[in-house]
Amino acid sequence: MTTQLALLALFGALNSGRVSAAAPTNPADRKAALAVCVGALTAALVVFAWLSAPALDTLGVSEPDARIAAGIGLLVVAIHDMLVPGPLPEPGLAGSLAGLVPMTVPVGFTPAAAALAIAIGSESGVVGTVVVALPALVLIVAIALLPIPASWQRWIARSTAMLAAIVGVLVTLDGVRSI
Amino acid sequence: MLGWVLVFGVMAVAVHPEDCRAPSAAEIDRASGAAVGWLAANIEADGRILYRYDRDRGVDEGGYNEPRHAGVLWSLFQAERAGVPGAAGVADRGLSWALDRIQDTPIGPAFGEGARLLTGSSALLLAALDERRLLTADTQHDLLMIELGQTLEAAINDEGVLDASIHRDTGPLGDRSAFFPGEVLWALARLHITFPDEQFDEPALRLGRYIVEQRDEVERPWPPISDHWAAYAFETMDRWPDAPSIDSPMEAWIDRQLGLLGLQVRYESQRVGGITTLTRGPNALGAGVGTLGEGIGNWLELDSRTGLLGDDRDVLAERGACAVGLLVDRQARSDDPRIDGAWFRLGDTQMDDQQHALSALLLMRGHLPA
Repeated sequence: MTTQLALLALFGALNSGRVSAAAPTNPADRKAALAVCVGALTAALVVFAWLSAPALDTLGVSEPDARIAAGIGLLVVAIHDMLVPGPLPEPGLAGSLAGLVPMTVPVGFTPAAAALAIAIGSESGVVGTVVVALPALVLIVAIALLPIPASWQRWIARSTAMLAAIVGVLVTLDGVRSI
Repeated sequence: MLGWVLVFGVMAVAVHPEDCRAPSAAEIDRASGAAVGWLAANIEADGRILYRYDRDRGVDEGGYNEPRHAGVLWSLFQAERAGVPGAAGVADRGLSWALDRIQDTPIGPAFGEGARLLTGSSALLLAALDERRLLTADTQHDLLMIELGQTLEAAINDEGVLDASIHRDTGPLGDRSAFFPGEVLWALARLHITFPDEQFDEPALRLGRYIVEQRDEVERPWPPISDHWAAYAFETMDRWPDAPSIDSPMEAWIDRQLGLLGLQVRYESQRVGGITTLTRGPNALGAGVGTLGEGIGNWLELDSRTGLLGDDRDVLAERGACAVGLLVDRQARSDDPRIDGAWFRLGDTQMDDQQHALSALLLMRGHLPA
Protein backbone atom coordinates (compact mmCIF):
# COMPACT_ATOMS: atom_id res chain seq x y z
CA MET A 1 0.00 0.00 0.00
CA THR A 2 1.40 3.40 -0.91
CA THR A 3 1.79 6.07 1.76
CA GLN A 4 -0.88 8.18 0.05
CA LEU A 5 -3.39 5.33 0.04
CA ALA A 6 -2.64 4.53 3.69
CA LEU A 7 -3.13 8.18 4.58
CA LEU A 8 -6.46 8.38 2.77
CA ALA A 9 -7.59 5.10 4.31
CA LEU A 10 -6.96 6.23 7.88
CA PHE A 11 -8.41 9.64 7.05
CA GLY A 12 -11.60 7.87 6.01
CA ALA A 13 -11.60 5.43 8.91
CA LEU A 14 -11.02 8.10 11.58
CA ASN A 15 -13.95 10.10 10.25
CA SER A 16 -13.18 13.56 11.66
CA GLY A 17 -16.68 14.91 11.03
CA ARG A 18 -18.31 12.10 13.02
CA VAL A 19 -15.76 12.16 15.84
CA SER A 20 -15.97 15.92 16.35
CA ALA A 21 -19.77 15.78 16.25
CA ALA A 22 -19.64 13.40 19.21
CA ALA A 23 -17.67 15.87 21.35
CA PRO A 24 -19.40 17.49 24.34
CA THR A 25 -21.02 20.86 23.62
CA ASN A 26 -19.68 22.51 26.78
CA PRO A 27 -16.49 24.37 25.64
CA ALA A 28 -14.34 23.34 28.63
CA ASP A 29 -15.36 19.69 28.45
CA ARG A 30 -14.98 19.80 24.69
CA LYS A 31 -11.27 20.71 24.77
CA ALA A 32 -10.48 18.16 27.48
CA ALA A 33 -12.44 15.45 25.71
CA LEU A 34 -10.64 16.23 22.45
CA ALA A 35 -7.27 15.78 24.12
CA VAL A 36 -8.36 12.47 25.62
CA CYS A 37 -9.82 11.33 22.30
CA VAL A 38 -6.72 12.13 20.24
CA GLY A 39 -4.54 10.45 22.87
CA ALA A 40 -6.76 7.36 23.02
CA LEU A 41 -6.99 7.06 19.23
CA THR A 42 -3.22 7.36 18.93
CA ALA A 43 -2.70 4.79 21.68
CA ALA A 44 -5.12 2.36 20.03
CA LEU A 45 -3.40 2.75 16.66
CA VAL A 46 0.00 2.19 18.29
CA VAL A 47 -1.15 -0.97 20.06
CA PHE A 48 -2.75 -2.50 16.95
CA ALA A 49 0.18 -1.54 14.70
CA TRP A 50 2.65 -2.91 17.25
CA LEU A 51 0.78 -6.21 17.46
CA SER A 52 0.23 -6.45 13.70
CA ALA A 53 3.12 -8.74 12.72
CA PRO A 54 2.62 -11.35 15.49
CA ALA A 55 -1.16 -11.15 15.00
CA LEU A 56 -0.91 -11.85 11.27
CA ASP A 57 1.62 -14.63 11.88
CA THR A 58 -0.66 -16.24 14.45
CA LEU A 59 -3.69 -15.95 12.20
CA GLY A 60 -1.78 -17.19 9.14
CA VAL A 61 -2.79 -14.13 7.12
CA SER A 62 -0.38 -12.51 4.65
CA GLU A 63 0.07 -8.74 4.37
CA PRO A 64 -1.84 -8.49 1.06
CA ASP A 65 -4.77 -10.43 2.53
CA ALA A 66 -4.69 -8.17 5.60
CA ARG A 67 -5.10 -5.25 3.18
CA ILE A 68 -8.05 -6.97 1.53
CA ALA A 69 -9.68 -7.46 4.92
CA ALA A 70 -8.98 -3.87 5.97
CA GLY A 71 -10.33 -2.51 2.68
CA ILE A 72 -13.53 -4.50 3.01
CA GLY A 73 -13.87 -3.44 6.65
CA LEU A 74 -13.45 0.19 5.65
CA LEU A 75 -16.07 -0.17 2.93
CA VAL A 76 -18.59 -1.71 5.33
CA VAL A 77 -18.03 0.94 8.00
CA ALA A 78 -18.18 3.71 5.37
CA ILE A 79 -21.51 2.48 4.07
CA HIS A 80 -22.80 2.41 7.65
CA ASP A 81 -21.55 5.97 8.20
CA MET A 82 -23.22 7.20 5.03
CA LEU A 83 -26.57 5.70 6.00
CA VAL A 84 -26.64 6.18 9.77
CA PRO A 85 -26.45 9.74 11.17
CA GLY A 86 -23.57 10.49 13.51
CA PRO A 87 -24.17 9.99 17.23
CA LEU A 88 -25.09 12.95 19.41
CA PRO A 89 -22.81 13.82 22.33
CA GLU A 90 -25.23 11.97 24.63
CA PRO A 91 -25.30 9.20 25.76
CA GLY A 92 -21.67 9.04 26.76
CA LEU A 93 -19.34 9.54 29.66
CA ALA A 94 -19.29 12.94 31.25
CA GLY A 95 -16.62 15.61 30.96
CA SER A 96 -13.25 14.75 29.51
CA LEU A 97 -14.11 11.03 29.57
CA ALA A 98 -16.43 11.71 26.66
CA GLY A 99 -13.17 11.60 24.73
CA LEU A 100 -13.22 7.86 25.37
CA VAL A 101 -16.96 7.16 25.07
CA PRO A 102 -18.42 7.97 22.61
CA MET A 103 -15.64 9.85 20.76
CA THR A 104 -13.01 7.07 20.61
CA VAL A 105 -15.38 4.14 21.04
CA PRO A 106 -17.62 3.55 19.21
CA VAL A 107 -17.27 6.53 16.86
CA GLY A 108 -13.55 7.01 16.14
CA PHE A 109 -11.84 3.67 16.59
CA THR A 110 -14.01 1.44 14.43
CA PRO A 111 -13.22 -2.11 13.29
CA ALA A 112 -12.00 -0.52 10.04
CA ALA A 113 -9.47 1.62 11.93
CA ALA A 114 -8.30 -1.46 13.84
CA ALA A 115 -7.89 -3.54 10.68
CA LEU A 116 -6.13 -0.69 8.90
CA ALA A 117 -3.75 -0.23 11.84
CA ILE A 118 -2.85 -3.91 11.52
CA ALA A 119 -2.49 -3.77 7.72
CA ILE A 120 -0.47 -0.54 7.70
CA GLY A 121 1.49 -1.43 10.84
CA SER A 122 2.65 -4.76 9.37
CA GLU A 123 4.16 -2.91 6.41
CA SER A 124 5.18 0.49 7.76
CA GLY A 125 5.62 -0.13 11.48
CA VAL A 126 4.20 1.80 14.44
CA VAL A 127 5.75 5.16 13.53
CA GLY A 128 4.60 4.92 9.93
CA THR A 129 1.05 4.17 11.06
CA VAL A 130 0.94 7.15 13.43
CA VAL A 131 2.42 9.46 10.80
CA VAL A 132 -0.25 8.63 8.18
CA ALA A 133 -2.94 9.04 10.87
CA LEU A 134 -1.79 12.56 11.78
CA PRO A 135 -3.85 14.51 9.21
CA ALA A 136 -7.05 12.83 10.41
CA LEU A 137 -6.19 13.50 14.08
CA VAL A 138 -5.38 17.16 13.36
CA LEU A 139 -8.62 17.57 11.45
CA ILE A 140 -10.63 16.12 14.35
CA VAL A 141 -9.21 18.83 16.61
CA ALA A 142 -9.66 21.56 14.01
CA ILE A 143 -13.29 20.77 13.25
CA ALA A 144 -14.17 20.47 16.93
CA LEU A 145 -12.54 23.77 17.90
CA LEU A 146 -13.59 25.89 14.94
CA PRO A 147 -17.09 27.39 14.98
CA ILE A 148 -18.44 25.04 12.37
CA PRO A 149 -22.25 24.63 12.28
CA ALA A 150 -23.59 21.17 13.09
CA SER A 151 -25.05 20.85 9.59
CA TRP A 152 -21.58 21.38 8.12
CA GLN A 153 -20.15 18.76 10.47
CA ARG A 154 -22.74 16.28 9.24
CA TRP A 155 -21.85 17.14 5.65
CA ILE A 156 -18.14 16.64 6.38
CA ALA A 157 -18.93 13.32 8.07
CA ARG A 158 -20.94 12.04 5.10
CA SER A 159 -18.39 13.29 2.55
CA THR A 160 -15.62 11.58 4.47
CA ALA A 161 -17.67 8.38 4.56
CA MET A 162 -18.14 8.55 0.78
CA LEU A 163 -14.40 9.02 0.34
CA ALA A 164 -13.79 6.12 2.75
CA ALA A 165 -16.01 3.84 0.67
CA ILE A 166 -13.99 4.60 -2.46
CA VAL A 167 -10.70 4.21 -0.61
CA GLY A 168 -11.94 0.92 0.88
CA VAL A 169 -12.38 -0.43 -2.65
CA LEU A 170 -8.92 0.83 -3.62
CA VAL A 171 -7.29 -0.75 -0.56
CA THR A 172 -9.04 -4.04 -1.34
CA LEU A 173 -7.85 -3.93 -4.96
CA ASP A 174 -4.35 -3.10 -3.78
CA GLY A 175 -4.37 -6.29 -1.71
CA VAL A 176 -5.83 -8.32 -4.57
CA ARG A 177 -3.14 -7.14 -7.00
CA SER A 178 -0.22 -7.68 -4.64
CA ILE A 179 2.06 -10.70 -4.67
CA MET B 1 -19.70 -4.65 20.09
CA LEU B 2 -22.23 -6.08 17.65
CA GLY B 3 -20.80 -3.80 14.97
CA TRP B 4 -17.28 -5.14 15.59
CA VAL B 5 -18.51 -8.71 15.38
CA LEU B 6 -20.37 -8.02 12.14
CA VAL B 7 -17.50 -6.19 10.44
CA PHE B 8 -14.90 -8.76 11.51
CA GLY B 9 -17.33 -11.48 10.41
CA VAL B 10 -17.45 -10.00 6.91
CA MET B 11 -13.65 -9.71 6.87
CA ALA B 12 -13.28 -13.33 8.03
CA VAL B 13 -15.41 -14.51 5.13
CA ALA B 14 -13.31 -12.46 2.71
CA VAL B 15 -9.94 -13.55 4.08
CA HIS B 16 -9.08 -16.95 5.57
CA PRO B 17 -5.86 -18.15 7.18
CA GLU B 18 -3.33 -19.38 4.62
CA ASP B 19 -2.09 -22.92 5.17
CA CYS B 20 1.44 -22.48 3.82
CA ARG B 21 4.71 -24.16 4.51
CA ALA B 22 7.99 -24.45 2.64
CA PRO B 23 8.77 -28.11 1.97
CA SER B 24 12.29 -29.44 2.40
CA ALA B 25 14.47 -30.33 -0.57
CA ALA B 26 14.16 -34.00 0.44
CA GLU B 27 10.36 -33.78 0.34
CA ILE B 28 10.53 -32.20 -3.10
CA ASP B 29 12.84 -34.93 -4.32
CA ARG B 30 10.49 -37.63 -3.04
CA ALA B 31 7.48 -35.97 -4.63
CA SER B 32 9.30 -35.50 -7.95
CA GLY B 33 10.37 -39.14 -7.95
CA ALA B 34 6.83 -40.27 -7.23
CA ALA B 35 5.42 -38.12 -10.04
CA VAL B 36 7.91 -39.61 -12.50
CA GLY B 37 6.96 -43.00 -11.06
CA TRP B 38 3.29 -42.38 -11.93
CA LEU B 39 4.20 -41.45 -15.52
CA ALA B 40 6.49 -44.49 -15.82
CA ALA B 41 3.79 -46.81 -14.49
CA ASN B 42 1.08 -45.42 -16.73
CA ILE B 43 2.77 -45.17 -20.12
CA GLU B 44 1.48 -47.70 -22.61
CA ALA B 45 3.50 -49.88 -24.98
CA ASP B 46 3.00 -47.45 -27.89
CA GLY B 47 4.17 -44.43 -25.86
CA ARG B 48 0.75 -43.03 -25.05
CA ILE B 49 0.18 -42.06 -21.42
CA LEU B 50 -2.93 -42.67 -19.33
CA TYR B 51 -4.78 -39.43 -19.91
CA ARG B 52 -7.47 -39.21 -17.24
CA TYR B 53 -8.22 -41.59 -14.39
CA ASP B 54 -11.09 -41.68 -11.91
CA ARG B 55 -9.85 -43.29 -8.71
CA ASP B 56 -13.28 -43.51 -7.09
CA ARG B 57 -14.66 -45.66 -9.91
CA GLY B 58 -11.29 -47.15 -10.92
CA VAL B 59 -11.96 -46.12 -14.52
CA ASP B 60 -9.71 -44.91 -17.34
CA GLU B 61 -11.82 -42.04 -18.62
CA GLY B 62 -10.11 -41.87 -22.02
CA GLY B 63 -9.49 -38.80 -24.14
CA TYR B 64 -6.16 -37.40 -25.27
CA ASN B 65 -4.43 -34.10 -25.85
CA GLU B 66 -1.25 -33.68 -27.88
CA PRO B 67 0.03 -30.45 -26.29
CA ARG B 68 -0.22 -32.16 -22.91
CA HIS B 69 1.56 -35.24 -24.22
CA ALA B 70 4.40 -33.03 -25.45
CA GLY B 71 4.37 -31.11 -22.18
CA VAL B 72 4.81 -34.35 -20.25
CA LEU B 73 7.84 -35.21 -22.40
CA TRP B 74 9.40 -31.83 -21.62
CA SER B 75 8.85 -32.33 -17.88
CA LEU B 76 10.36 -35.81 -17.97
CA PHE B 77 13.53 -34.65 -19.77
CA GLN B 78 13.68 -31.73 -17.33
CA ALA B 79 13.43 -34.22 -14.44
CA GLU B 80 16.24 -36.37 -15.78
CA ARG B 81 18.45 -33.29 -16.17
CA ALA B 82 17.57 -32.35 -12.60
CA GLY B 83 18.70 -35.76 -11.39
CA VAL B 84 15.51 -37.84 -11.24
CA PRO B 85 16.66 -41.23 -12.56
CA GLY B 86 14.62 -43.11 -15.17
CA ALA B 87 12.67 -40.09 -16.39
CA ALA B 88 14.39 -39.85 -19.79
CA GLY B 89 13.66 -43.49 -20.61
CA VAL B 90 9.94 -42.86 -20.11
CA ALA B 91 10.19 -39.67 -22.13
CA ASP B 92 11.90 -41.43 -25.04
CA ARG B 93 9.02 -43.92 -25.20
CA GLY B 94 6.56 -41.04 -25.33
CA LEU B 95 8.73 -39.26 -27.87
CA SER B 96 8.48 -42.12 -30.36
CA TRP B 97 4.65 -41.81 -30.17
CA ALA B 98 4.96 -38.11 -30.97
CA LEU B 99 7.52 -38.55 -33.78
CA ASP B 100 5.16 -41.04 -35.45
CA ARG B 101 2.62 -38.23 -35.63
CA ILE B 102 4.63 -35.56 -37.42
CA GLN B 103 2.58 -34.53 -40.45
CA ASP B 104 3.30 -32.30 -43.43
CA THR B 105 1.29 -29.12 -43.78
CA PRO B 106 1.50 -26.34 -46.39
CA ILE B 107 3.78 -24.36 -44.02
CA GLY B 108 5.98 -27.26 -42.92
CA PRO B 109 5.90 -30.24 -40.57
CA ALA B 110 3.78 -30.15 -37.42
CA PHE B 111 2.94 -32.57 -34.61
CA GLY B 112 -0.56 -33.88 -34.03
CA GLU B 113 -3.25 -36.39 -34.91
CA GLY B 114 -6.09 -35.69 -37.32
CA ALA B 115 -6.33 -32.83 -39.79
CA ARG B 116 -6.20 -29.92 -37.33
CA LEU B 117 -2.75 -29.59 -35.79
CA LEU B 118 -2.30 -27.34 -32.77
CA THR B 119 0.69 -25.02 -32.77
CA GLY B 120 1.02 -25.59 -29.03
CA SER B 121 1.68 -29.30 -29.66
CA SER B 122 4.63 -28.58 -31.94
CA ALA B 123 5.94 -25.89 -29.59
CA LEU B 124 6.03 -28.15 -26.55
CA LEU B 125 7.47 -31.01 -28.59
CA LEU B 126 10.23 -28.62 -29.64
CA ALA B 127 10.88 -27.73 -26.02
CA ALA B 128 11.07 -31.44 -25.17
CA LEU B 129 13.44 -32.17 -28.07
CA ASP B 130 15.63 -29.25 -27.06
CA GLU B 131 15.73 -30.41 -23.44
CA ARG B 132 16.62 -33.91 -24.65
CA ARG B 133 19.40 -32.44 -26.79
CA LEU B 134 20.81 -30.65 -23.74
CA LEU B 135 20.61 -33.88 -21.75
CA THR B 136 22.08 -36.29 -24.31
CA ALA B 137 23.96 -34.07 -26.81
CA ASP B 138 22.15 -36.19 -29.41
CA THR B 139 21.73 -34.14 -32.60
CA GLN B 140 19.67 -36.61 -34.61
CA HIS B 141 16.51 -34.47 -34.38
CA ASP B 142 18.16 -31.14 -35.23
CA LEU B 143 16.69 -30.87 -38.72
CA LEU B 144 13.20 -31.65 -37.42
CA MET B 145 13.61 -29.06 -34.68
CA ILE B 146 14.56 -26.36 -37.16
CA GLU B 147 11.69 -27.30 -39.48
CA LEU B 148 9.17 -27.30 -36.64
CA GLY B 149 10.48 -23.87 -35.66
CA GLN B 150 10.02 -22.61 -39.21
CA THR B 151 6.46 -23.94 -39.22
CA LEU B 152 5.72 -22.05 -36.01
CA GLU B 153 7.34 -18.91 -37.42
CA ALA B 154 5.05 -19.16 -40.45
CA ALA B 155 2.02 -19.31 -38.14
CA ILE B 156 2.85 -15.86 -36.72
CA ASN B 157 1.67 -12.83 -38.69
CA ASP B 158 3.38 -9.44 -39.04
CA GLU B 159 1.64 -8.11 -35.91
CA GLY B 160 2.92 -11.05 -33.86
CA VAL B 161 -0.47 -12.78 -33.71
CA LEU B 162 -0.22 -16.57 -33.65
CA ASP B 163 -2.65 -18.97 -35.34
CA ALA B 164 -3.66 -21.61 -32.82
CA SER B 165 -3.95 -24.38 -35.36
CA ILE B 166 -2.85 -25.46 -38.81
CA HIS B 167 -4.98 -27.53 -41.17
CA ARG B 168 -3.03 -30.39 -42.65
CA ASP B 169 -4.19 -29.49 -46.18
CA THR B 170 -4.94 -25.75 -46.12
CA GLY B 171 -2.49 -24.26 -43.61
CA PRO B 172 -3.04 -21.84 -40.69
CA LEU B 173 -6.69 -21.56 -39.63
CA GLY B 174 -6.72 -18.04 -38.16
CA ASP B 175 -8.00 -19.19 -34.78
CA ARG B 176 -6.65 -18.07 -31.40
CA SER B 177 -5.55 -19.61 -28.13
CA ALA B 178 -4.73 -17.91 -24.86
CA PHE B 179 -1.79 -20.15 -23.96
CA PHE B 180 -0.25 -21.22 -27.29
CA PRO B 181 1.49 -17.86 -27.84
CA GLY B 182 3.49 -18.40 -24.65
CA GLU B 183 4.31 -21.98 -25.63
CA VAL B 184 5.42 -20.98 -29.14
CA LEU B 185 7.41 -18.05 -27.80
CA TRP B 186 9.22 -20.39 -25.44
CA ALA B 187 10.00 -22.86 -28.24
CA LEU B 188 11.37 -20.11 -30.50
CA ALA B 189 13.35 -18.61 -27.62
CA ARG B 190 14.98 -21.98 -26.97
CA LEU B 191 15.70 -22.48 -30.67
CA HIS B 192 17.51 -19.14 -30.84
CA ILE B 193 19.90 -20.38 -28.16
CA THR B 194 20.40 -23.80 -29.75
CA PHE B 195 20.54 -22.61 -33.36
CA PRO B 196 21.59 -18.96 -33.19
CA ASP B 197 22.16 -18.70 -36.95
CA GLU B 198 18.58 -19.66 -37.87
CA GLN B 199 17.16 -16.25 -36.90
CA PHE B 200 14.36 -17.43 -34.64
CA ASP B 201 14.88 -14.34 -32.51
CA GLU B 202 12.95 -12.00 -34.83
CA PRO B 203 9.61 -13.90 -34.76
CA ALA B 204 10.12 -14.50 -31.04
CA LEU B 205 10.50 -10.79 -30.35
CA ARG B 206 7.42 -10.03 -32.49
CA LEU B 207 5.33 -12.62 -30.65
CA GLY B 208 6.70 -11.54 -27.27
CA ARG B 209 5.73 -7.94 -27.96
CA TYR B 210 2.21 -9.06 -28.88
CA ILE B 211 1.87 -11.08 -25.67
CA VAL B 212 2.99 -8.17 -23.51
CA GLU B 213 1.13 -5.36 -25.22
CA GLN B 214 -1.97 -6.81 -26.86
CA ARG B 215 -2.71 -10.46 -26.13
CA ASP B 216 -4.60 -9.93 -22.88
CA GLU B 217 -6.84 -7.26 -24.40
CA VAL B 218 -7.43 -8.91 -27.76
CA GLU B 219 -7.78 -12.58 -26.88
CA ARG B 220 -8.96 -12.87 -23.29
CA PRO B 221 -9.55 -9.65 -21.39
CA TRP B 222 -11.19 -11.47 -18.46
CA PRO B 223 -10.26 -13.29 -16.36
CA PRO B 224 -6.63 -12.21 -16.71
CA ILE B 225 -4.19 -14.98 -17.58
CA SER B 226 -1.29 -15.95 -15.36
CA ASP B 227 0.86 -17.26 -18.17
CA HIS B 228 3.47 -19.73 -16.93
CA TRP B 229 4.52 -20.53 -20.51
CA ALA B 230 5.35 -16.90 -21.16
CA ALA B 231 7.34 -16.92 -17.90
CA TYR B 232 9.36 -19.85 -19.29
CA ALA B 233 9.80 -17.91 -22.52
CA PHE B 234 10.98 -14.65 -21.03
CA GLU B 235 13.32 -16.46 -18.66
CA THR B 236 14.81 -18.20 -21.71
CA MET B 237 15.03 -14.98 -23.75
CA ASP B 238 16.96 -13.42 -20.92
CA ARG B 239 19.64 -16.06 -21.52
CA TRP B 240 20.10 -15.01 -25.15
CA PRO B 241 23.54 -13.49 -25.79
CA ASP B 242 21.63 -10.50 -27.20
CA ALA B 243 18.89 -10.57 -24.54
CA PRO B 244 16.19 -7.91 -25.05
CA SER B 245 15.99 -5.26 -22.35
CA ILE B 246 12.96 -5.01 -20.11
CA ASP B 247 11.10 -1.81 -21.01
CA SER B 248 8.26 -0.19 -19.11
CA PRO B 249 5.33 -2.03 -20.84
CA MET B 250 7.14 -5.27 -20.09
CA GLU B 251 7.76 -4.23 -16.50
CA ALA B 252 4.07 -3.40 -16.06
CA TRP B 253 3.07 -6.73 -17.60
CA ILE B 254 5.45 -8.63 -15.30
CA ASP B 255 4.00 -6.76 -12.31
CA ARG B 256 0.50 -7.90 -13.30
CA GLN B 257 1.72 -11.46 -13.78
CA LEU B 258 3.39 -11.55 -10.37
CA GLY B 259 0.25 -10.14 -8.75
CA LEU B 260 -1.89 -12.82 -10.38
CA LEU B 261 0.46 -15.59 -9.33
CA GLY B 262 0.63 -14.30 -5.76
CA LEU B 263 -3.13 -13.89 -5.49
CA GLN B 264 -3.81 -17.39 -6.78
CA VAL B 265 -1.33 -18.99 -4.39
CA ARG B 266 -2.79 -17.07 -1.46
CA TYR B 267 -6.32 -18.08 -2.46
CA GLU B 268 -5.41 -21.71 -3.02
CA SER B 269 -3.64 -21.92 0.35
CA GLN B 270 -6.90 -20.89 2.04
CA ARG B 271 -8.53 -24.11 0.84
CA VAL B 272 -8.03 -26.38 3.82
CA GLY B 273 -11.22 -28.42 3.68
CA GLY B 274 -14.08 -28.16 6.18
CA ILE B 275 -15.97 -24.92 6.00
CA THR B 276 -13.51 -23.50 3.43
CA THR B 277 -14.99 -25.95 0.93
CA LEU B 278 -18.10 -23.77 1.09
CA THR B 279 -16.31 -20.42 0.97
CA ARG B 280 -13.40 -21.31 -1.34
CA GLY B 281 -14.58 -24.41 -3.21
CA PRO B 282 -12.61 -27.62 -3.65
CA ASN B 283 -8.84 -27.72 -4.20
CA ALA B 284 -7.59 -26.61 -7.60
CA LEU B 285 -6.23 -29.10 -10.11
CA GLY B 286 -2.69 -30.31 -9.51
CA ALA B 287 -1.97 -28.81 -12.92
CA GLY B 288 -3.35 -25.46 -11.78
CA VAL B 289 -1.22 -25.30 -8.64
CA GLY B 290 1.72 -26.60 -10.67
CA THR B 291 1.49 -23.79 -13.21
CA LEU B 292 1.67 -21.29 -10.34
CA GLY B 293 4.90 -22.88 -9.14
CA GLU B 294 6.22 -22.95 -12.71
CA GLY B 295 5.46 -19.30 -13.30
CA ILE B 296 6.97 -18.22 -9.99
CA GLY B 297 10.00 -20.51 -10.43
CA ASN B 298 10.80 -18.98 -13.80
CA TRP B 299 10.47 -15.38 -12.60
CA LEU B 300 12.73 -16.21 -9.64
CA GLU B 301 15.23 -17.81 -11.99
CA LEU B 302 15.24 -14.70 -14.16
CA ASP B 303 15.58 -12.52 -11.08
CA SER B 304 18.57 -14.47 -9.83
CA ARG B 305 20.47 -13.16 -12.87
CA THR B 306 18.93 -9.71 -13.25
CA GLY B 307 17.74 -8.60 -9.81
CA LEU B 308 14.54 -7.55 -11.57
CA LEU B 309 12.26 -8.28 -8.63
CA GLY B 310 14.10 -6.23 -6.04
CA ASP B 311 12.30 -6.33 -2.70
CA ASP B 312 9.56 -8.53 -4.17
CA ARG B 313 11.87 -11.51 -4.51
CA ASP B 314 11.48 -12.76 -0.94
CA VAL B 315 7.71 -12.62 -0.94
CA LEU B 316 7.53 -14.27 -4.38
CA ALA B 317 9.84 -17.04 -3.17
CA GLU B 318 7.52 -17.47 -0.19
CA ARG B 319 4.51 -17.86 -2.52
CA GLY B 320 6.39 -20.30 -4.72
CA ALA B 321 7.41 -22.38 -1.71
CA CYS B 322 3.79 -22.32 -0.59
CA ALA B 323 2.63 -23.63 -3.99
CA VAL B 324 5.06 -26.55 -3.96
CA GLY B 325 4.29 -27.15 -0.28
CA LEU B 326 0.65 -27.60 -1.26
CA LEU B 327 1.71 -29.99 -4.02
CA VAL B 328 3.85 -32.08 -1.65
CA ASP B 329 1.02 -32.28 0.87
CA ARG B 330 -1.65 -33.10 -1.70
CA GLN B 331 0.19 -35.79 -3.65
CA ALA B 332 -1.56 -39.17 -3.42
CA ARG B 333 0.31 -42.15 -2.00
CA SER B 334 -0.99 -45.65 -2.62
CA ASP B 335 -0.07 -49.20 -3.57
CA ASP B 336 -2.12 -48.68 -6.73
CA PRO B 337 0.21 -47.47 -9.53
CA ARG B 338 -2.66 -45.52 -11.08
CA ILE B 339 -2.93 -43.47 -7.91
CA ASP B 340 0.54 -43.34 -6.36
CA GLY B 341 2.39 -40.11 -7.09
CA ALA B 342 -0.58 -38.38 -8.77
CA TRP B 343 -2.60 -35.31 -7.87
CA PHE B 344 -6.37 -35.74 -7.76
CA ARG B 345 -9.21 -33.25 -7.78
CA LEU B 346 -12.69 -34.53 -7.04
CA GLY B 347 -11.42 -38.08 -7.66
CA ASP B 348 -9.86 -37.40 -11.09
CA THR B 349 -6.28 -37.03 -12.21
CA GLN B 350 -5.04 -36.08 -15.65
CA MET B 351 -1.52 -36.57 -16.99
CA ASP B 352 -0.86 -32.83 -17.05
CA ASP B 353 -1.52 -32.70 -13.29
CA GLN B 354 1.67 -34.73 -12.93
CA GLN B 355 3.45 -32.73 -15.65
CA HIS B 356 2.89 -29.25 -14.21
CA ALA B 357 3.35 -30.34 -10.61
CA LEU B 358 6.62 -32.11 -11.47
CA SER B 359 8.01 -29.09 -13.33
CA ALA B 360 6.99 -26.77 -10.51
CA LEU B 361 8.73 -28.94 -7.92
CA LEU B 362 11.91 -29.06 -9.98
CA LEU B 363 11.90 -25.33 -10.72
CA MET B 364 11.23 -24.24 -7.14
CA ARG B 365 13.76 -26.65 -5.59
CA GLY B 366 16.53 -24.12 -6.15
CA HIS B 367 14.55 -21.17 -4.87
CA LEU B 368 13.25 -22.30 -1.49
CA PRO B 369 13.42 -19.58 1.18
CA ALA B 370 16.39 -19.99 3.49
